[in-house]
Amino acid sequence: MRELLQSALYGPGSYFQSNHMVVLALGVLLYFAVAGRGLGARKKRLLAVTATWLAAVLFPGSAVILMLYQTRFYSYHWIWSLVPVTLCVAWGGTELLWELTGQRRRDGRRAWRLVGGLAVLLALLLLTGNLGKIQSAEKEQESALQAAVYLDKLPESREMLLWAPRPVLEEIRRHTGEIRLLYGRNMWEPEAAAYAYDSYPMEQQRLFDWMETLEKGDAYEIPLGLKIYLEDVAAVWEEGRDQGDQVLADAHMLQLAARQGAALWVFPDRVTERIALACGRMGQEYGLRARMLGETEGYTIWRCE
Amino acid sequence: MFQKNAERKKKGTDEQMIILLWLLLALLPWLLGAAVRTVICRDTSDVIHMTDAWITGALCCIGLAEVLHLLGTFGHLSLSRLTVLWYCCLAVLSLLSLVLVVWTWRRHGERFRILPQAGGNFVLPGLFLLLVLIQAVYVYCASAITAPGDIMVETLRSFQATDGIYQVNPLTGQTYEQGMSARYRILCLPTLYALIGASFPVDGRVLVQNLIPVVVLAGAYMAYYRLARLLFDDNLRKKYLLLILVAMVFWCGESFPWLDGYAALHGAWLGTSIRNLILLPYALSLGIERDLRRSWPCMFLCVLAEACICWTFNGLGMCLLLLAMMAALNKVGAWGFCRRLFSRILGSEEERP
Repeated sequence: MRELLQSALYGPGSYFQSNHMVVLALGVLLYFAVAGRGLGARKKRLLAVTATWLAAVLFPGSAVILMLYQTRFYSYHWIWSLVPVTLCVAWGGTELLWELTGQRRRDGRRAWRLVGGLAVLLALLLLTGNLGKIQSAEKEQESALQAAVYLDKLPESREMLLWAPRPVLEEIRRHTGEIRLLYGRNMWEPEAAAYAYDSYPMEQQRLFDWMETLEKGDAYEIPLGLKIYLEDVAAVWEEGRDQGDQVLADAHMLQLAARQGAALWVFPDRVTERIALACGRMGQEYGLRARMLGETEGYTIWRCE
Repeated sequence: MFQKNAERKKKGTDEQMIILLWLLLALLPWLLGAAVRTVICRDTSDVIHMTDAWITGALCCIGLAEVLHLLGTFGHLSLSRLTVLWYCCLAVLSLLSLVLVVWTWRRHGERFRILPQAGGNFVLPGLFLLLVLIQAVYVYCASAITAPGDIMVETLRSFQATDGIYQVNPLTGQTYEQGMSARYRILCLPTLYALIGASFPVDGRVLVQNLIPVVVLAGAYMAYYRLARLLFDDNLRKKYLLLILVAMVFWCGESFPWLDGYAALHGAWLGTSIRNLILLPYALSLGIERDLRRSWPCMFLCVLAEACICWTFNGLGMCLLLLAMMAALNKVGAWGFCRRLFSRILGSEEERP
């Protein structure tokens, strides 16, 4: 309940950051409340319903009730769906343009006045809107798609579970439903995890964390749990903290993946040497063999036997 | 050379299929909706607008998909069987609708309005169509952005791969261990897309992320056109001006999943987008119209459609809340004190048709 109240208190500010057009909607309401005498019944109804919903989403008490009603699956921002902001802005803009550009006067310039008014309104919408803030990770997606296409053609991919970096796992299930994954988007995306009651065992979470460290490199801080786990694992067989430790830890993680049923692996191409070393060590320590099947732009594909 | 010709031929076939798909998605809902509205308005001589008919028909299609989805989920019918059922149901419904519409058309041809009324010049409709065309091309060509929690394509792929409904977890392809949320399980959009996809040799991802959004965008403008018609009656220029401004708002506010612009341009295949773009404006228009005798079946369809495509509070979604609030406001507005207060603020003009 406390979380809901906090969302309701701080939500309006956050929503306003995402959509400044709320100001325009408020302006339209104010305009019609002050100068809107003689509105038709339907327009009055629209005005009343917009004002009511606006008050309901802004007032914390009613906002909490609305959030409970819409279920906790959605965040505070979604209760704004009830406020017809788009319609309110468009309707107010239409009436305002009609009046200010004198569309009732039938002279030769009314079309030009309307064009000018539209341009001003467009500028206002651009100022209050948030055009072009969406960033698409096209390059990353492109190389992940290449890996997905390659994997789709491999006969082995139908038989065994796939273990890969996050972008490849995301892309592969969008590309084909035939390939099964060790874990999916519900591992790292809480919204996607809400659909099913399944959870992942600790080993798979360690594998995910380890793959993240491979993919993101030095910029990524290794999660504390994985760090302790790897230190424990490496300390069992080797003394000291040299290169040998890391190879052994890597080999341990690879055999852990194989024991979890994932025998088809994808790794970022810049760690190929490290993986090759770990595969060699895995053969010595655990008797498991792995070989590289091929490579695509940015990734290498391996199979454990 | 042969391979190039084959590729060109395949591309041509794909394009023909896409045009055929859009044509059917435009015609079938209209036909079903026109028949439903003919039945609803059988005692009156009301005009049946194309936009109203299409939205009503689309809601009926969602209802049909939901029935089949439930058969697949709880009756364990395979997707291929559901596809056959889908064809049969659509064929029977279309035939019945065609008979009903042709019969009514021959007796009262003036009741069907396919195009907006004549009058006005072509500048504003032309500008509006240009904006919509640019948006449609953008939606069709743009690479899709996946919203958090959107697993539509994965779900569609898993249905196609297993030839069944929710046989495996769409995100991993492995069978469920603990199961999935029953509320989510009954949402029918993935099945609807799978059924449409089974009828046309179009890639599932392109269908969901590029083709369906164009149809949803068209549906959104139909809902807003209905609102414009109610607000501005016969003033065609004002109606198109409102639609132009709606298009501009879509362009300018498109960066977050909860905004209408995002729903229209980046994620129109989602249930929440269909709700925000079509169902809520349509429900609002029904509430504003305040003609409960004729509009209650459409209100009911709206509420049901939302329950079938969105995660709601035990089926009680935003449309129901909106309609309930509008009914409450009407009751409150009818009280003497409130009526005097509103007329003091907004003037006292009598209700216009």
